[in-house]
Amino acid sequence: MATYSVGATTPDGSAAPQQTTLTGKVTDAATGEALIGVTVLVKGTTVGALTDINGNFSIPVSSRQQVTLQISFIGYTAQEVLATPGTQVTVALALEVTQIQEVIVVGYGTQKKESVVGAITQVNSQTLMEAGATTITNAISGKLSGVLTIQTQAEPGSDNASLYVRGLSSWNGSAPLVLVDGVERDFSSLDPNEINTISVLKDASATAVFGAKGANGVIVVTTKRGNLSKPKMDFTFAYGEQKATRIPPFIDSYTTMTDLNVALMNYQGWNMLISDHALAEYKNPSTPLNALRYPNVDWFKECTRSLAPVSNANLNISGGTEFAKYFISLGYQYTGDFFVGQKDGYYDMRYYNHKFNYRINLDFNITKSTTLSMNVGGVLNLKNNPNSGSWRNLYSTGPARFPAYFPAWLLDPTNQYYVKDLNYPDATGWRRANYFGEYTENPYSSLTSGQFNKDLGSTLFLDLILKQDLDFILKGLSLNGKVSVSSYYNNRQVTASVTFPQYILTYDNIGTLNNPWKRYSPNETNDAWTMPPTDVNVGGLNGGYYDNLYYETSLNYGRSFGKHNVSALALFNRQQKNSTTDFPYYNEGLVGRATYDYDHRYLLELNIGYTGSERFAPDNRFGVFPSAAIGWVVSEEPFFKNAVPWMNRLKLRYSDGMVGSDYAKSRWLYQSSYFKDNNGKIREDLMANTMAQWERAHKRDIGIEMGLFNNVVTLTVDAFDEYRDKMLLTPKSVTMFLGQSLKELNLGKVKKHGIEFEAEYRKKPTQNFEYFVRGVFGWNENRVVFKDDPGNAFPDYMKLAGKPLTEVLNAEYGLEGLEINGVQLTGTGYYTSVDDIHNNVTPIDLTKLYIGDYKFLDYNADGTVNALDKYPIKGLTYPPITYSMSTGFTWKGFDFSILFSGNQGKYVQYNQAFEVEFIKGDWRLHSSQLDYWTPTNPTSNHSTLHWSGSSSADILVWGGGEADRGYQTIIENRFFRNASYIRLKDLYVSYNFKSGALNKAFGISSLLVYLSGSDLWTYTPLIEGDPEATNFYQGYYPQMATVRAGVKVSF
Amino acid sequence: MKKRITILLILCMSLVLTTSCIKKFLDDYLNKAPEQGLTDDIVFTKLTNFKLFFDAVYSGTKYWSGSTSWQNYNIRCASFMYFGWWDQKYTIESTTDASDQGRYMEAQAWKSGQMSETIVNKLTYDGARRPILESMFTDIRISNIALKNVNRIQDATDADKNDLRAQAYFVRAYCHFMLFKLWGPMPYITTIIGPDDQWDIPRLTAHETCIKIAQDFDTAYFYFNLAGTVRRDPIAAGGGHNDYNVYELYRPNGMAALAQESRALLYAASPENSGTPDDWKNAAQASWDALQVALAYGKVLLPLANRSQNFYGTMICDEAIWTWCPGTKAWDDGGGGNNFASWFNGPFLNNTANTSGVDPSQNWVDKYETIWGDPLNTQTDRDAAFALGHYNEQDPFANRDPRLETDIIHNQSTGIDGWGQVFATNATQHTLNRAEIWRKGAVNSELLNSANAGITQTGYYMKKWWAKNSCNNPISATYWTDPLNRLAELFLNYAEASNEAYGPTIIGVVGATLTAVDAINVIRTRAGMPNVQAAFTGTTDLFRPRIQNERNVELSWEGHYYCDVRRWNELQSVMSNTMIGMIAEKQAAITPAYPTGYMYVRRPLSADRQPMWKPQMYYLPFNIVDGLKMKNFVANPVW
Repeated sequence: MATYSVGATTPDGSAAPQQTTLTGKVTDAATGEALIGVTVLVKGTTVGALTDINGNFSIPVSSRQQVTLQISFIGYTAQEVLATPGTQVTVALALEVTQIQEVIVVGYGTQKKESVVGAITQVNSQTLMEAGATTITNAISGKLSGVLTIQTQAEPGSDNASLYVRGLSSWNGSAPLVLVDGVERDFSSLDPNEINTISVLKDASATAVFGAKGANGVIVVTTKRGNLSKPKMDFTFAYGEQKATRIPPFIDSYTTMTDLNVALMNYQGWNMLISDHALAEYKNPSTPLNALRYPNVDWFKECTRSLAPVSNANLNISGGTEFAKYFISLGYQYTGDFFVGQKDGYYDMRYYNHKFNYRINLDFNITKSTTLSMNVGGVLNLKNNPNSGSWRNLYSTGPARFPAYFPAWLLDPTNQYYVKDLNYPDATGWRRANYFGEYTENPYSSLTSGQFNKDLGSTLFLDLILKQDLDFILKGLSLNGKVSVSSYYNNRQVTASVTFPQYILTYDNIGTLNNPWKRYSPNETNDAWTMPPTDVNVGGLNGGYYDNLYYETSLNYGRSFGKHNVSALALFNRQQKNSTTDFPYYNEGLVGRATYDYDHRYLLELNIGYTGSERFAPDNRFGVFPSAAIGWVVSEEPFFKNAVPWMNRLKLRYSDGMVGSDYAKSRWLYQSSYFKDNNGKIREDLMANTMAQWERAHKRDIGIEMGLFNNVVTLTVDAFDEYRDKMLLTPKSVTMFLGQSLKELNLGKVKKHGIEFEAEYRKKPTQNFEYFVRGVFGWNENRVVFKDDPGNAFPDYMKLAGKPLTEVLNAEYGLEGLEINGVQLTGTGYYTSVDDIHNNVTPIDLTKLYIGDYKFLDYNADGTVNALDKYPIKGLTYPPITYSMSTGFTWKGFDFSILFSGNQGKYVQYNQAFEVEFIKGDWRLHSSQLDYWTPTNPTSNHSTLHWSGSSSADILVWGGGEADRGYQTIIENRFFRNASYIRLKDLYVSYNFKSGALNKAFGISSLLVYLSGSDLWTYTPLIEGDPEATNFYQGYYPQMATVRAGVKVSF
Repeated sequence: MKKRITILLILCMSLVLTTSCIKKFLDDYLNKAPEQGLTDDIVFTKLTNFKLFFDAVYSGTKYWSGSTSWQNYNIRCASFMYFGWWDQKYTIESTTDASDQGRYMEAQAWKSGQMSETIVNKLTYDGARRPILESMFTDIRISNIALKNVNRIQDATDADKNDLRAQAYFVRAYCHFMLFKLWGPMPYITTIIGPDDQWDIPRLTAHETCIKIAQDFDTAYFYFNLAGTVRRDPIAAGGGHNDYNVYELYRPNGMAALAQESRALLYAASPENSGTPDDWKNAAQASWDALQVALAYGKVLLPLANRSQNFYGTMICDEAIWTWCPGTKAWDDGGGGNNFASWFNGPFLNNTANTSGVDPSQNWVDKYETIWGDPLNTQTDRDAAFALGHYNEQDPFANRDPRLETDIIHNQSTGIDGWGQVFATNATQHTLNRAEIWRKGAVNSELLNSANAGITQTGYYMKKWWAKNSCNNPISATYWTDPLNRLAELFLNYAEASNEAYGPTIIGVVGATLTAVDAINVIRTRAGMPNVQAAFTGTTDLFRPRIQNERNVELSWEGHYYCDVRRWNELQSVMSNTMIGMIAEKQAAITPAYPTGYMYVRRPLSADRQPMWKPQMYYLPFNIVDGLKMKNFVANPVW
């Protein structure tokens, strides 16, 4: 037991009249372990003590009066407790969370948060672990300001979300650069347990060091490493179930067929009308046999499981000695099938994905000044899936066409509705129903037969890092070297297909001499059907395999001279990407950074990237990307401290600089030669862009960081703008007279600006209770400044300049140069009478119009509705506003958090499978059509109904054939609909059992049980379908809501 | 002091050296690119490569991303006759009153002035269809590049070079001509336009465009003559031959250059293009010259029985000056029929999924005179012929121009591959739909499967290109040929120009031996027709309609009619005509009133098959965006 007097001001030997001691113990709040060397001080005095090896302390005090003890320990939140001498005080110190966050990962290094001047947002592993999502990319959704995530579908193994930093930046791709442990790599398949931090670098100051790769923002991921400690082992296991979000609601046969009659009457198909008798049977079949004849099939119900399983497990061990530190992790994740796919022997029509992650991160202190680190990380992925789009028919098949299958009782002679199969008198078991009609298959069959693929993917990341302190040359100087290899391949292990026979039951033949059963596929012979041997093929390399090499070397310098803090970095790197059979991609760069701060008050940072790539013209291979940032920590100024004591932190920062993007769809733009066509003739290549270079982005960012009331309230605001030029574009002003075109030219210009907020209120009213409310908001907008809009006579409304960047929606049939184009509806939106049809211009033959059809706006008022009336209609496919709100608390062992995330202004092209009824003769309605136009429903959401036999209604056409005579329609607010949404993204509840008994008996220091959920609730104006989806063309694998229960055991 | 400067200098230099060393070190790593295969030098200094480059104009392809495959981008995709307009088959005649299509298809959109942007694109850039606009300008560029580089060839004789020069001039003119025919006056492009040149080039007038075209063809002839390629193949004894590729007959020749020149000058002289009397003289002279050269090089008018060799059966016959023949195709290669539909639209043997066929209108059939030379164009004409006992509306196909039988299938056509009459007289068939046997296709079932064929609405099918190839004779492969230039046209060109320049019966061209009337009679004689009746040969104006009629009949469905009526300023009246079909109704018996056993009734086609005139229909529109790109070049109005 160590007792001492701080500052030795206590008069020696001045014995107090009633000397007594104050004793107690300090433990780790998380683990319950004793903490050694904690400073315990009596408040207002200099008397104190350090805890001993068992965490105990003892302080001699002079009175029996209650005193306040100040307990502090590096890395832990300091506490004050009241203590009465003579009693035992037990204090549990919690790890200081802000302490961990104080280091921010930046490009090629880390910085203290207080001295960061760039716009950077970061999450740590804890946040990721608490998210319920199955992938990292979804797990960070809503947690980082200025980052947009879009999960377009959720097929197991292909369910990653796309990420965008500060919205779209370029029509040449806006995907941010992603680095894992400092090397350009994909992070989406990593196990959250392996990840230490994910940091998003947004402004020029933070990204200029990445030069021609940084313009779309940079995501820097670091993995966990070992610390100096005893071996610590965590084991996590979780199991959960998934349920599809917002699949199209079931519309029953009766409704469908009643509305079909409306369409048929419009079509004047009087002889095709469904009789009242049949409608009655659809509504309420009189016999079980009629239930098959007049089916009412809820296909999603027939073809999906109510729940799809997910599970994951992880075991990791970390620790270290003075010589070696280690972090070892093994992870597993399983995502199961939502559909009814089956497995029988080789034949496996299920969607599922097994993922195995492994990682070993080692650090060796070879000498006192030399550290050698080695990282081995990898993913093995086993994915099974039917051929893509096997769910398609689910979205297009009506409920009244045919049953999913014929049940076994049909063939059971004891059943009164027994239907004898004259060829197969003894056949038993149910039979698949053959589809009929031109365009749709039996969704059940397409999900359970056909072709499937089993792929084994392997990703391997290897790093070898050597760090040598060069203090003997110059104090604070160090030399680093790194060699990294990243490789990926995907081996198609099995590809096979399987077929089953399908049947048509001719109801009118029942009881006659003609066989009522007719069989289709795989053949129609009368031999008893046996399942053919599965046609198994072994694939081979499949997908974009790569094998990349990266190496860098750098000099780091960091030192403080009194109040002057200086750091500098000089770095050289090279990268060679060997991707599939492409000519290798080469990149190299020189990076420099210098930072200076005076007294943590005045901050300055200069960055420069000098990067090159082989893609560009020899004279333009290298680009110089400088940036500068300044910061002023006002709250460190003495005058401020006195004037505004409640604001404990105020930092202003501004950055300005250049970054680039070297993404190019085609390479060798600077060359033009000749090539042979498929007839062996020599053809002239497109004319070269002899000045081919990278895109150039000038970014500015101004930020304010505030902490109020001792950081109970924190607020960060960033406003930014960007001007991008030298963007590659396909020249559109080239006239026909050239007889040739040009390769992409660096002519495009786009501007962008936006603002981001991050605000948090975090309070800890008592020792055991802490709660927070947090909000993140981001808004950005962009405008094309120049995209080589064709020439002089082009009307302004058709020019891209001045319009926001967006996705190409209708490139094939639209006017060249116009991206989202569509039509507006006039006035009421519908033709309401025969007169109305004759008094208005129409894009198609009058004879093909119905009362209640869409009435298009003659936008340029030239008396016709044609391609010139298309203009960019309202809405963006990438939302300009993203936001999230979260709240939570911890109380004793409980932890609860909830996060809502959403966006505003997202639109989707909501087409064929969702907006066109009875397309190509199918008997399918969609939710939008339930609100169809009638004279008594003039403000409906959809036109009157159409039946179109084998094609598609002219007024709703999407391409081909008759469309040539009509109009390609994307109708504002119909085919292009608002899909803004807010959804309950994450929900997390846990309880941590900390018991000495467990520890003693099993060595378990903590046992955490938790429940997590994601995407549990959504609000959106979109009628049907998940608003995160982007392609509604023929449906998609639905997004999944997940609920998961797990346990984490720490040893 | 000196020492210090020296040290300073050395320091500076070593700094510069170090910097440049680093620069080199960085540059070397990135200085990588795949080897460039075909450089400028390799392409233009070797004759074989030069030809591979230039020959792209004949058979080059381009990778078209719209269908992600290689598609034809060469002068063939502009062939009026052949290889269709595109895969929604029809011929250019179907855009006029000359013919209907069995299946209601895109030609109707053109005919009725409803060319949507999508249809326009099929004629301009759509690689899966007929990217004519793009191909023509591409081939003009190739020709200009060839002309600029032809002297660089190291291993070619002068004759080789001159032949290439000639072809380049020819193709340049041909492409401009094709553009002119569809889109009207154009700038004449004789340079390789680059990024720094003016891209917005104003149009010439129609007359200037034609004259420029004619001048280039004339230059082409000059070089063909030098190269010895006025004719490429040796003169064979009768019947034509199929050594097409041996003699590279897909390449144009000197005769063709003169023939095209004569056509261009004829266009230049025509009323629509503001021709002057001198233009007619030039056209007459050029036609005569072209005719003389073609005759001197062994071209002859084939007898009527062999005239079909111009269209099928041989790759090039003795009458044809320059053709395009891709080879042979049968109706059915084993793939289910309609095989040749991918090449040609004329024959009716196509199902509704492929092509529509050409169904001549009664308007067109009326162009075929009686065997005595009585015109039947108007009701007055027909009444006059009836009065003479030369024409009977109830026996309309008797005593007609023999070319009616060779060119058109009508009710009770005979002699079709020994099948007897086209339309069986089996009463049970006819009682099915007595009134509309044609329309409902109750016809010889071997000829036409009524379930899926493009049934005629006019009562006629086109026979000229029928090649005896049918569902009854499905597998014998036949050559299909587009007679780009044939001798008969030169007589007709000469007759027209000479009539305008000098009158019907005066020889004005120095050295000529035929009058305009003589030249027309040469064509009529070959067809088995008497000379033009004297009543029509008195004056230029009297004779003009007969020349035009003769030209229409002789050159039917060869891609001339549409351009001819336009240059005669008759497009508007032609497109304002009501198209008539001839309905044949089977009678119970042959009676004096119905000597054929059928009642024939002229009936207008339904409204949706009629042409609809709009003033902007003289020339095709461009893609809207093309028009909007330019100010100096004023685009054609959108229809």
